[in-house]
Amino acid sequence: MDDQRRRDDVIARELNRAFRTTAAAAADESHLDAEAAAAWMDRRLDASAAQSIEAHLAACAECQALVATLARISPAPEEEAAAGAGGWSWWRRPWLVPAAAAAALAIVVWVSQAQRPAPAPQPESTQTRVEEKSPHLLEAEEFERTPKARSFQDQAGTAPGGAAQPPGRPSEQRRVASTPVAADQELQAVAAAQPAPTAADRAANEATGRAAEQPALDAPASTKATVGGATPAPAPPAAAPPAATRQESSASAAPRVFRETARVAGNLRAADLLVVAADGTSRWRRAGMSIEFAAGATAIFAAATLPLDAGVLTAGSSPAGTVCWLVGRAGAVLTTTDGLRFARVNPPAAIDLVSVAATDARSATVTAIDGRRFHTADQGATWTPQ
Amino acid sequence: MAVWQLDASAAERLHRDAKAAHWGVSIDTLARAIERGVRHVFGDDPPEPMRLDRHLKSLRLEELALACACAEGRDEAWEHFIREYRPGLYRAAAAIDPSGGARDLADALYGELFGLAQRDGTRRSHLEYFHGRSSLATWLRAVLAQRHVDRTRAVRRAAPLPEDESPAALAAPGPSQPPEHARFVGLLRTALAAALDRLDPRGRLRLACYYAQGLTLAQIGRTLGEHEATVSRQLARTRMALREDVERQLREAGLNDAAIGECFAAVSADPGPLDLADLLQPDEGKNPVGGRSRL
Repeated sequence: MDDQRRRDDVIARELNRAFRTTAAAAADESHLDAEAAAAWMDRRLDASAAQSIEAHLAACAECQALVATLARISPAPEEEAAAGAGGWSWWRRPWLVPAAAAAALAIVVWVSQAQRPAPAPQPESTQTRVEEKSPHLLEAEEFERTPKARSFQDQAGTAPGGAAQPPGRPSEQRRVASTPVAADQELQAVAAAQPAPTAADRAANEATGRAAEQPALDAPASTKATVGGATPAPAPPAAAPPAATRQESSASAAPRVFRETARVAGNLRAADLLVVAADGTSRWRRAGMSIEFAAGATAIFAAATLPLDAGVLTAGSSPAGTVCWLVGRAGAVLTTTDGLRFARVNPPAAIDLVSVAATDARSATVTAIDGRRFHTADQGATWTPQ
Repeated sequence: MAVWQLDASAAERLHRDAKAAHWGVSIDTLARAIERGVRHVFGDDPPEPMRLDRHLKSLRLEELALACACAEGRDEAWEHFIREYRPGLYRAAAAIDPSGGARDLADALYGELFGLAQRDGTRRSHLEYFHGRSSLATWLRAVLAQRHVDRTRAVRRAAPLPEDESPAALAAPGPSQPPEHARFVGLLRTALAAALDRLDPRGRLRLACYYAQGLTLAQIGRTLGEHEATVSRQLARTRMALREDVERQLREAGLNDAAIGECFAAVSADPGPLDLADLLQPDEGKNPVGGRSRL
């Protein structure tokens, strides 16, 4: 085993040298332009175009540098939503500060008078039901109990100081947990926050078999650490809703794969999102930072137009046909009537929204993370607290 | 051959969807911008109706309308752009170089976005190159990133080579190596190159993002649409698969287990520079990309 670990170290070192040596070499004459790189990063391309670009990127150091720079300067979805890029300016408006303070005060007063914790969001429609744990959460917990967790930690690599990363990397921004226990908690948070594997992941898993279940080969197993650069999910607040909500079509015949799993943790880190129309005619799913739409159970998904990145979205509801409502962080509410073009509507409040139940294109009820519910009957022009 | 044009009804519908009237952008102006984008993607030949429809549906029309309005120099649109997008541009510049070294790139880009006076007196804004295929914010960051990469590369090319007698130009004296050392190193590196060539594009890109570009796991995850734990796991699996592939090749080359171990030991002990410039060069035909402006 030690011998295998040493050999993996050699491979990692050689990879580091090989890639860095060839990084300066130009691959060929053709390269991505900024627009193509941006469209690829935004997941706005159809599958064939995206694969074409990915194949080019895999072989072209010059374009890798472009995409890598873009990745470095692109904010995480949470940061982008908070920064208010491209249409979130209401979040930064000065009048919002006293308004938010007043709203917070009102919540405190209301909670203290009620003498009970704010109610967690409850199922609101046939499309939404709350479960104790999603299959993925169970998988993550099971993962942590098995030797695979050990393997995961070791595969993540243990750098001096305790930060974990795949080995062979000379330098990377590292965040070191203060104690082994904290590091372990962070590792568990990362593992628990891992979304269900994508089709690409599944293909890769099949290609590599069960290699990852073997004990670690390339790092000392004595130090517990977190994945490099990972942002752990903080503990959910007391009033937060259950750990996971799952939405699925009311049509009992709808396959399980059509279910939506939205994780509601302290930072509302989004997991997979899949919404199926109540009549089963349409589907929407999150693909990276985009939402894709398919009309019909066997139709091909096509990218929908969103006024924001899909990473901030937490839940959705489709009463029928191509009508769909999506909600997300910081009061984000989006609607579409043709399935493809989502438009933002007036937010009910500057608060994270965790579920939505729509009855038609004009009427819906959304639930905030603090349990408040708001109803609209005019497609979001006005909201009424409930 | 006649240049492809958007038909009037589609132009009107897209203009309505883009809410372009809000910025005072005419149907014709928006249609010309969309046509430029279509030609950019599909070339001058008329695209297939289905592909065209998919392309049009994927466009960020509202942001394209804003870009058109800014390119035309409409004040209200510029105020909106300055309020909503310029801070992001400067944040991106600060992320490239926290010491402020990239601020001039952002300033220059902003100037080009505002528009440069041409000889005929008309103003050409760089926003005319935005075709709505991505969000405007991502496009701005991509243009900035492109300029940063170009400048870095130009600086690197302009850097003088070390003097012949400088320490940097002198090869480090290597320790005496066993006679088989060079052969073992060559065998392993050749096998590794072959194993890398067999990797699928995503696996290779993941490795390149990590080892060549130095991205964090989270950044790679955002780039590839994977969770960072998945990235970590896949990196480890790919590396293990590479090692197994290398071992298999060495066995096929007639080496026994002891000799394979010596190969790894030789490479591990080899301090010399590695010139594998052609190791990861794409094969002919591997790259389906036709040209810089065709992706």
